[in-house]
Amino acid sequence: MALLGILMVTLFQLVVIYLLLLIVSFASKSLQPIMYAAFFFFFLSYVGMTIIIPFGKTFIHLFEPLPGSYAKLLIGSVFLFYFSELIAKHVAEAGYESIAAVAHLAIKIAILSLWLPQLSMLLDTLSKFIIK
Amino acid sequence: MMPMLESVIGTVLSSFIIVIVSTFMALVLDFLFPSFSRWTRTFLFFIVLTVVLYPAYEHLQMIRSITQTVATMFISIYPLLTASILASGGSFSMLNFQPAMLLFANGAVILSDKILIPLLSAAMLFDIISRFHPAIPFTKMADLLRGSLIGLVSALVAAYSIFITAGGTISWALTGVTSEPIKKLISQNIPLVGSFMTDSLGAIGRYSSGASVFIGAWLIVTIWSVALLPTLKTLLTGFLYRWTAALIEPFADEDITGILDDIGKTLFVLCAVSFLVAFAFIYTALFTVILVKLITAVK
Repeated sequence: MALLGILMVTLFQLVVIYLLLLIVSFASKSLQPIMYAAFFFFFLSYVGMTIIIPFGKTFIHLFEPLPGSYAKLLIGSVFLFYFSELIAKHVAEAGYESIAAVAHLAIKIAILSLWLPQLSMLLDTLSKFIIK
Repeated sequence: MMPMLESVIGTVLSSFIIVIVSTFMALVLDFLFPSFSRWTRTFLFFIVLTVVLYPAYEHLQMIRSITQTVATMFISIYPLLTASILASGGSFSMLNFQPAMLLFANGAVILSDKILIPLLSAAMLFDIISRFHPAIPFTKMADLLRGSLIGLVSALVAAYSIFITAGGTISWALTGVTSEPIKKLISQNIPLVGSFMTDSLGAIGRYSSGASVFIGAWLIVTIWSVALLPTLKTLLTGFLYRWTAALIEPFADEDITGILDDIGKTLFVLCAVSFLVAFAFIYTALFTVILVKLITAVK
């Protein structure tokens, strides 16, 4: 029931934001980008807090039997990638594409470095096949 | 027998359950975040390889250490055995125990230690590379290695059986008419190495028949089970790999199921190699036992 309420509120907020943005674009064209950015971050943080992050926690809990924190790593890196992609897209839409590209690349490298211990473990096992 | 079965199934099955669960997780993530799908595939590959390679690696290591032990045993015992045969004179001529055969059997062990098992691990690495990076495939190379290995091993076993029957000892019941259907069943149902297994079992059986006159049947059974236990374990693990591949095929990437299948195939070939080693072990052990019996009987 609580989840249904959250979903309804989210949908309602989406409609309100859309209408507000339409009104802003009608009232003052120069104010529209900053209003758009503010609404975007507000909406993103709200959805993230109420839906995406709780879902991620449930998901990690669901795949807890996997060893070596693989579930945490995989799901964490997926969410990191997703948020960074969203924000980078938003920045790119405002016309600052090079900044978005740099930030996205940095996040990708961060995700890879999270996986480095696992990667080195695998390389260890593989090299044991070659070296006696 | 049962604890061995349970331990193999316990360790191997738990890692395969991990593979199944993580494949399912990757499927859900692919569905939710399609832009991440290439990363998900790579990371899933990491997880599967880390989890799955370990049992295969352990088996390779096990057979390798057994091979080394048998080879060392042979090198230390061979001069002693040949000297004793020379000393005991003609009492060996009634059996078909030739020192040359012993040399041949254990030469095969040294061959498998130095060449066969390294080649097998190379085949496994080639499989992994070609599945992980399909643009640079080494599948033909891996298949060639596996095929030539199994050819080599079956040729050696055929040579064994020729050597053994040439002496004209009494045939054992395994080669009789009653066991023919069982052999047919095994050779048709175990992929790749089935017919080879029945052949080599027949060769070992023919050999043991001559020996069972001299030493008790229980001793032969003991030596058999000690020698064949690693082989059985490897065979079982190979089957588990292929079963898992079949189980996750509907919802997993083709590469993941392919690599499980390939590792299963490689383990089957490893099983064939370990048959060689087991045979050499049985031969040497029976040889020694008979020698000791003969020497004590002469006294």
